[in-house]
Order: sequence, then structure tokens, then C-alpha cells
Amino acid sequence: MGWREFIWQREGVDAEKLEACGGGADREAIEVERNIVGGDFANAGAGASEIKRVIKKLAITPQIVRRVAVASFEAEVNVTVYAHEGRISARITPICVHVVIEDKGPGIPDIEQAMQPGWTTASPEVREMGFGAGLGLPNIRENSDYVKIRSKVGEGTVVEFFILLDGV
Amino acid sequence: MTITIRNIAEAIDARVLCGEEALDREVGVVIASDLVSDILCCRDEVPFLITGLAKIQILRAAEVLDLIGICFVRGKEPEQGVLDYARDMGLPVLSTPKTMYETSGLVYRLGCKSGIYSPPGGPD
Repeated sequence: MGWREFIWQREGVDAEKLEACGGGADREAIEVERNIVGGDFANAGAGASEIKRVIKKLAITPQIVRRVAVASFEAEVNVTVYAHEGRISARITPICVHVVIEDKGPGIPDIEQAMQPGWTTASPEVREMGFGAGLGLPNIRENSDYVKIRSKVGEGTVVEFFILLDGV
Repeated sequence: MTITIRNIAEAIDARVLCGEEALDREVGVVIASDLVSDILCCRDEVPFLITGLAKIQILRAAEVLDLIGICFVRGKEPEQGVLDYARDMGLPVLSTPKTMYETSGLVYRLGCKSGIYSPPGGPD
């Protein structure tokens, strides 16, 4: 089984703006990066907190700040719960926030299924910590304008999302 | 009528574990849950949280949502490191021996509204 891909785009979102989001290094951008260690629950969400601190200082509405923080948090927690190691990188441009979360881990055999609210393979130990409700990936989609997930079983997963700063 | 965290603490016989200086913060909406993802489905900016999950993960969620305060139910108290983290955040943390049901009921009776719960795929 090779790499599988899942792409979702919010209805009504400006495609041109989205394209510009993924644009090159010519745009003025602020970058935040952090490594994620699988199983390190004490630090799960630290990257999302850092991203939030950075964007809160910019002229971005509290609603957008919250959406970026929630989606980043969920993606980071997924790496902590399921993968061996990973990295979260956020790029903030004048028009959007672009976040990429890559991990080395078991991968997702069926991404469509994993996108269903309530679907989870989390262990009882993970659930005791308040995670594994099966809302991680759905919450990322709910808060994003564009989501792309690539995954290969036995290798890892790359979750990427864009959130436009002026909403849809 | 304005409801503060201090009013809530009194209504539910809660001990203040930290954040004494912020007890007069006004409480707009309240959410109650033991699931982190569930808490993150709250649409409101600054809710007060009632939970039985006395772990560092809840403070991370608190940071993400800008919670204005937390109450741990069923007599739960977090480890010192967790409280130190809350103190650094300036976050008031309460602990009550009451159950989540009773705590929620008493806080509701004070007049606090529920936060908007908007799960993925659910109605707005």
C-alpha cells in the first residue's frame, strides 16, 4: 500500500487566495517550528501554544486565532498519541496561516474513516488522559479552510491545513 | 447580574488552589467535560471549565481556548507541577468535592449560560 491522500476544501473558499497561501518564500512570513515526541503527553500541545502566542500579537481576530490554535493542538496531540516522532511547522503570511504536521509513525490505513467523528483507535490509557475521543481530525477540518492529509501505513502521516485570515 | 469565579467557588464549596488574584473575573459561559476534544468544540472565546480531568493536558486546552478559570470536581486535585503551570498562566483553579452533575447544576442556578457546543459535522 503506497501513500494515500485526502483533500478537503471549505465550500465558498477563495481558491486564488488558497493557492497564494502555499506560495513561495517571496512572501513576508513568520515561521514557528517545534519537534513533537511520541508519548510525551506533558508537552502535547506546546507547539500549538507557541503558534497561538505568536499570532495573538498580530492583527488577527480572536476567532481565527482560536481556529488555528484548536486545529494545531489536535494535530499535535495526534502525533503524541500515535506516532514515534514528528514536527509541527506554521507559516503565517499576510493572508493565511499554513500549518504542516509531519510524523514518523504507523500511518492511517483508511483516512476517510479516520475523518468520521467518533472514530478512534486510541488505547484506554490515552483515553484516561482525556484524548482519543475520535474528534481530532474532524476538529482540524472544522476549523480549517483547506486540509490535505497524506499517509502511508508503516511510514507516517503529513497533515497540512490552511486558515485564511479574513475568513471565508 | 454579574457572576464571578468567586461566586461560583462559594456556590459549590470549592477550595481555591491558585489564582486568588483573578477570582473577580466575570464568568460569561460555562462548559463541563472530561474530554479534551469536546472542550475544544466550544465556540465561545473565554469559557469557564468544569472537569474531572486534573491533568496537564487540560491546561494546554485552557491555553488554546483562553479559558478564564477551571474547577476540578469529585475532589480531584492536580499535581504540584500542574498547579505551578496554572499559576504561571494566571489561571484561577478551584476544586470541589461535589460531582460534575451537582456542580453544573449549582453553577447553572447561579445564572451562568452554557458555552456554544459545536462538534464537527453537527448542527451549528
